[in-house]
Amino acid sequence: MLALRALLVFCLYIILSLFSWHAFAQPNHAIESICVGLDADISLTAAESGEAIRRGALIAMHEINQRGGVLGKPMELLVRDHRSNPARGVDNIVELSELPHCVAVLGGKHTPVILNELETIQSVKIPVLVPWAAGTPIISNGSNPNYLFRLSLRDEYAGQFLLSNISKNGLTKIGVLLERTGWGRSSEKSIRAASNKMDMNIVGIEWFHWGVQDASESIQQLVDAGAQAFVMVSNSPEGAVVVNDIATHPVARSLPIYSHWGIADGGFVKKVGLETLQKVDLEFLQTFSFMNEPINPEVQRNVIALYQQLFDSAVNENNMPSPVGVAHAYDLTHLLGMAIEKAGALDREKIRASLEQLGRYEGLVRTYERPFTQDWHEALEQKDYIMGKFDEQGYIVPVKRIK
Amino acid sequence: MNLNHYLAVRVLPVGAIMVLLLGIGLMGYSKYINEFEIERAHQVAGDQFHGTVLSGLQGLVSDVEAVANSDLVINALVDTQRRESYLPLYLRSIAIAGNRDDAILITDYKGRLLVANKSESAIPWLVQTDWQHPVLRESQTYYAIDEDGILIAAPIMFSDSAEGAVVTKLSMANVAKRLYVRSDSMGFMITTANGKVIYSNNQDLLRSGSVVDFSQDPDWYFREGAEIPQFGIKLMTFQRMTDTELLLTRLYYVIIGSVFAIILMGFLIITITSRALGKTMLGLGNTISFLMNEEQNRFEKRAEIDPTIPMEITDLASKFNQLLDKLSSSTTSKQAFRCIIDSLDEMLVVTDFDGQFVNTNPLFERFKGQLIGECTTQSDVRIIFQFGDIARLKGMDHVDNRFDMEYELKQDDDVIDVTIEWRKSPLLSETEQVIGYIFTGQDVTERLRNERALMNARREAEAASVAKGEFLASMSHEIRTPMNGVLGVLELLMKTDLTEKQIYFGKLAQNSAKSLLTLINDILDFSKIEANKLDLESYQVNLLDIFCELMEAFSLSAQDKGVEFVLDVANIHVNEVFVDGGRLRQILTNLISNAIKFTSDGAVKLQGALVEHDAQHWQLNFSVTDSGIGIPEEVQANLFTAFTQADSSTTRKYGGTGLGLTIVRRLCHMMQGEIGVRSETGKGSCFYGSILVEKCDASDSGEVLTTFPDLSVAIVEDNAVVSEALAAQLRVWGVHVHCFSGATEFIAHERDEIKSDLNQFDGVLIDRDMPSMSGTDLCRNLMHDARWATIRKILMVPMADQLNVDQVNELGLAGYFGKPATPEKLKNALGWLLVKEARDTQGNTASGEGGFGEEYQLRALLVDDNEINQLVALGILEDFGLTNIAVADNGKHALEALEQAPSDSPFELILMDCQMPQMDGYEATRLIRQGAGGERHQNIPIIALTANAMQGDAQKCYDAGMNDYTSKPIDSEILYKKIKKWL
Repeated sequence: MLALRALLVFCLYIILSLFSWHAFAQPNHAIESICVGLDADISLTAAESGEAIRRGALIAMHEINQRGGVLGKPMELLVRDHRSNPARGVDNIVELSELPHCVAVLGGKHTPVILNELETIQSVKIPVLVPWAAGTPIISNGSNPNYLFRLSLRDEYAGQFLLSNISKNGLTKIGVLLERTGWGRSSEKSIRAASNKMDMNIVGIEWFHWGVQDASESIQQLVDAGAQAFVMVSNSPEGAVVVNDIATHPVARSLPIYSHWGIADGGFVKKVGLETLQKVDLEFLQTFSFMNEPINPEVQRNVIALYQQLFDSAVNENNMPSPVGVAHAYDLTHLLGMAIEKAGALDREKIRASLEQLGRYEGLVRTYERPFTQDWHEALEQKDYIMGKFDEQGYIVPVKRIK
Repeated sequence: MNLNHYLAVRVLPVGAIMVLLLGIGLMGYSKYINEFEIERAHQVAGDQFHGTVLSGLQGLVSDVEAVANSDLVINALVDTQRRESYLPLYLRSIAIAGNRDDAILITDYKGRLLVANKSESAIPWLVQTDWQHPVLRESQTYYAIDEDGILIAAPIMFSDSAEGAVVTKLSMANVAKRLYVRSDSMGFMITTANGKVIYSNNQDLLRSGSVVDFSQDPDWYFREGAEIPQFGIKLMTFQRMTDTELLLTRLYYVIIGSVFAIILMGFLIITITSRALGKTMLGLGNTISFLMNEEQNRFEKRAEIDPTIPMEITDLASKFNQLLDKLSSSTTSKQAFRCIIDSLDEMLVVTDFDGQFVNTNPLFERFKGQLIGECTTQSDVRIIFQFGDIARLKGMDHVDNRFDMEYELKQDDDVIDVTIEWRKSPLLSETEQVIGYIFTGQDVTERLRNERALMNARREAEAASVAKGEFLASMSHEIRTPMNGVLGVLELLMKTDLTEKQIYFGKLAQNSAKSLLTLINDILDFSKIEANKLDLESYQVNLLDIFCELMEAFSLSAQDKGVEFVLDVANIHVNEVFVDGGRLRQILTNLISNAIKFTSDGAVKLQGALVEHDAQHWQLNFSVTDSGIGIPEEVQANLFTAFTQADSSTTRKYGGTGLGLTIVRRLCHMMQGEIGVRSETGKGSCFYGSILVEKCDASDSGEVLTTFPDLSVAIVEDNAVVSEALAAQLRVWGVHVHCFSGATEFIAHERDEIKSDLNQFDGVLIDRDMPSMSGTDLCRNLMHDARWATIRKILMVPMADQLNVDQVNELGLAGYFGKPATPEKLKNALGWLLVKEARDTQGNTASGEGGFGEEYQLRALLVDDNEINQLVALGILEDFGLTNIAVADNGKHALEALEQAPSDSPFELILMDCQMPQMDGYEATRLIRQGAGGERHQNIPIIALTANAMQGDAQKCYDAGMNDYTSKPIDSEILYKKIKKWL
């Protein structure tokens, strides 16, 4: 009887304490919290990617804050929209760096924006965590100390991985379609290097601008040159134009398209249309799928549950929009949390240094033994890369499901 | 005062004053119009200027917007590292408003300069920032215009957000090139809303930057045009006035000159016209006065007409001339009318409403003179009506107005009767009222007489025709009855014991009688055709059977003459058709018998083929080809006309009526066909023809097509005609055929085959009678040589010959059949080849006498009134083995015999003559069917024996209830078949 009563009292205490935490934590939080900036396109063409990163970061912060925060303080996300515009990105970095309690910044999808920010970042000395943009020179920027950390693809390997998939299918002649930006150029370098290594033949490289409305001439050029497959590096608006033009070209429409992941969002699906998507053979780079056998099942379960709780109850493993954005931001935020904890202070320089010192972390995307080192700020490896595609409803699914 | 003077005084002053007033009016009006025109010209030019300026400025704006929207520029905002390398280059290449002097630059989303095509110091207006808010915040294109030029700023859009701007300021001098409106005399300018000149195409008068004040200067015309509010500008047009006033003065001179010219011309025109008019009118007056003075009514003079003067005057003159024409013509027509009446071939009388004569012609006057009686002096309609009631005159108005009257006339002291046919028609006034009557009379005495004679003649002719028809019918019956007797008795006679001489005479008599019957039949047929009494029937027949039966029927007589008779029906692919089979047989029989008759050596070939004609009909093409004496060309033409043979001597040599071919041709025509002949004297003839036969729905597909596709057969036959016909038929069935003209050729070929070790034939058809080596010898040779012993052999023998089993075995035959070969026989023969087993059967079908068997005693009743006929019929029946026959003289006795027949042996068949005294066959049959001969005999088969071979007799028999009929003289074969059929 006594034991039972004790249990009841304990339960009551737990419940009450939970309520009281909510009741009293709010003012604390407002008074002093650890801020992390988010500098991404939240409103324009790449809004889905920005939102995915925001959600991944918020889920991680929710978990951290539930555990009592970092250094006893809750984490908070400050969102700054750069609208895919590098000029706005620079201004955002400057603005965020001027906030004393902002310890780091999460970047967005666009390599050109971050490339344009590099100089500013080095001068204001704020750690920038990159959950999406894949340009090689973002990390290999030649500065020391390096404030950029990435948990995402690296174009250098992306090109290699894409070409190895093409080569696996016995195709050797590729036509390359690149956007005329820093990302495109970074990819070109990577694809050229990979083709030399793998003895593949680049029959032509066609560049297109942001905002391009007609790519049929480029496609005709590559078809005439004898391309057996297309390699595409593009964001959604231009990618949709290219894929639509491929789908209506009498020859090109039967050729496979191996794309970088700039197109992996709902905006692309909407612009191309499900009907056209069914007609083309389109695969693209991914690092992670909720549909594969989870590396750390409990982590994945929690993430999905929180996603449903915080954002959208209709979302599950199979229909998550921009899953890589969510996953990368989630892991990065946890890594940041660990680094702050390890630094023991809200000092940006210390946090940057402790990021390079982190130990094992069992994350959503993978288990990291040593996420970053002093020389290597890339948390993912080429072996983490997978190919994804759109299913009949336009959701991203892995080409080969790993179970 | 003449016309000229009159017009000059009255018209000229008024006209001159009016022209003067008009001139003054014109001058005033042109001054007004000039002012109006200037205003309008400015309005038009102003509108045009407005359009040019607006579209020019808008064009500039959209040029800048196009730069802002170009993907290169959009991309440059993103491509921060490399844009320095290409963007300045691009901006320097841009030529807004057609030149590259003006500065153009790109800013970031906060309006900070990113790239420009000039150095910053060369862009003084960079300080202007009015544009930033509308462009970067509201994403609107901005523009502002002043005397220096126009500033245009367009947002660079990422999706729907302005993320940068393209800004340019275009100098007025460059913009003006876009605003150029072509005009020599008109000035244009653009001012700000408060009147400051921004642009003018007349820089001497109005410099940019000056303020316009135009109200004081009378030399200038200014017009304020429309505003363009979005650019904040006003438009204006102006013109120096002196130019237009000079123009107006010149116009005044022209008008004054014109006024005087018109007055002068008016004077001239009046003078010329009045002179011409006066001349014509004088001429007209002269003509009238001339005619008035003319004494006789001869209107020959006419007024002269000058065609150049006004229409009204010429019209008056020509109408006057027409009046004269009419007057003179009505005088002539009265005379012509009189002549017409007098020349009429009929009597003509015109009376008034009461019947009094108004007018008569000479013919009537002569008639009236000849009339007997006191009426000759009278002159009313009673003469015509022979003093009858004059009321008839009116009474006939509504009835037939044609009537005959008879009169007595005195002519050269004789009195003759004549009949006049009168016709009365009313004489109508202009108001359609009857004012009198016209009578025309014609002597129809002769005509009536002729009509009566014609009627009599026709009646007599019709009676004669009826008599002829009846005669024909009775001939048919009456001639056949005794012939039946003669032939029947002769046949019986020949079956009694006779000496050789008696047989000889008997045969002569029989042949003569048969010839006579043929002759009679021909003549009767011919008469029937001529009298159109021959009607065709149409019933279902089997074409192949008809051809084969004819073949059988004639093969013996052909064989007797040593002539090969060949049948080729390979192209008859449908058996059942609708046609008058009897008549078809008659046609073919005629042709075949002719062919055989005129051929003493070689072959006669009967050919038939069906060709699609239309949906309901086939065309049956047939031909009979012989190798006989042939027909000379000059005879061929009238070969088919009645009573003609190739040569009158042929009749003597070959007999015949010469009617056969005529009948054939008529029959062919009746069956919608044709007949013709090809012939060469000494080489033979070919009679070819065609008729239409109806398709038979039920068995349209004909027989199931027999095929022997794998068979290969050789034919050894010396007569090429025969072998060709055989081959044709075999090929229809898909058999591979190889023909050899003789035994030696065949053996030679077979040797080659043996050498090549290839025995290709499944069988060989061998003609028995061949020159050099006969068929039987060939068979033996083949049989006794081991190499050929396996070849299956079928021998074709003359029809009458039969082989016994020993002969078949001795020759090693697979079978044999009698020539000529029918498709049926050939099919059987191929069957034997397939069965690979010797047969001693022969293909000959049993024909003629067969007998009903010894033990069978049919109880039959023969009904015939003629004793000889009874004798003949009984004799024939006895030949069939039928002896249990009762005989009755007429229908009545027949019924009695039926009734009295013992119950254990009722009659099973009745042979019924049709025409008998007391009760004829039809009546008797009807009564039997009603049960008058006892219930057991109600359904007894009744076969009519009738001499009535005329059309329709058969139907009469069927109608009476008989089952079948055969015509007399009785053909024993036919009777046999019919009896068999009904038992």
